[in-house]
Amino acid sequence: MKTSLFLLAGLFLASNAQSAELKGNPKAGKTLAYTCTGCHGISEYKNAYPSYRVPKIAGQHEKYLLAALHGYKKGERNHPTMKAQASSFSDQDIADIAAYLSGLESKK
Amino acid sequence: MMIRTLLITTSLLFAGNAAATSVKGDAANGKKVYEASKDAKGQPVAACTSCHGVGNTGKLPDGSAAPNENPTLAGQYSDYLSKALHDYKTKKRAHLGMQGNAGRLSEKEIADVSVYLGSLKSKIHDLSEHE
Repeated sequence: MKTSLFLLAGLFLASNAQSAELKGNPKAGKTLAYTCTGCHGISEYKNAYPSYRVPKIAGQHEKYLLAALHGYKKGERNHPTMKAQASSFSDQDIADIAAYLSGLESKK
Repeated sequence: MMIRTLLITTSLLFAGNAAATSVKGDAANGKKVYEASKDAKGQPVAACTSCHGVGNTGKLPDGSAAPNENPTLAGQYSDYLSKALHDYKTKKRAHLGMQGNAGRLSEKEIADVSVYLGSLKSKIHDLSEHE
């Protein structure tokens, strides 16, 4: 009985760990990231009210991108457009996008 | 006459205000702020470099890689960095460490450090290169 309990607990932990660290697929991320280019794909593009240039996200650290997108999805970060975008993505989508963006190298 | 003076004074006041909200940053001083922060009593506190890396090297002062969880700041748009620092300072953006760090910075220091980081070249870039 005890053994099966341990086994169950072990399986539970294993599945949790897996969902916390989804492996991102850059190819899938590239397709999903098309929508990002509307703002992040225009050099010097400005956010309106308040006015500032939208951040460069290509080549950014993968884990930071994950944190940022999950932050928007959970409502911890407050940009309306980014909240809407991030909430439309699954955790796997977010992992894929972060993998794609972080792997990009500047051609300049 | 009185009204005209008042009008001129008012417009000068507005001009002065506009200048204050967009403090011009000084990159050389920003480098100092980025590399050696001090608290209100002038005591050294953990510098920006200890989490975000030295300049655009992507490495911490001890030579190890800057943690992947922390964003690369070198090469980011200065006005975005300034916006982020203000959001931390006013606690609109959550992160205990950054709220404290940004809270210690003056308007001038925020402008300086943002301009310094924005002046560096790094691997972060616009998606416009990939369409």
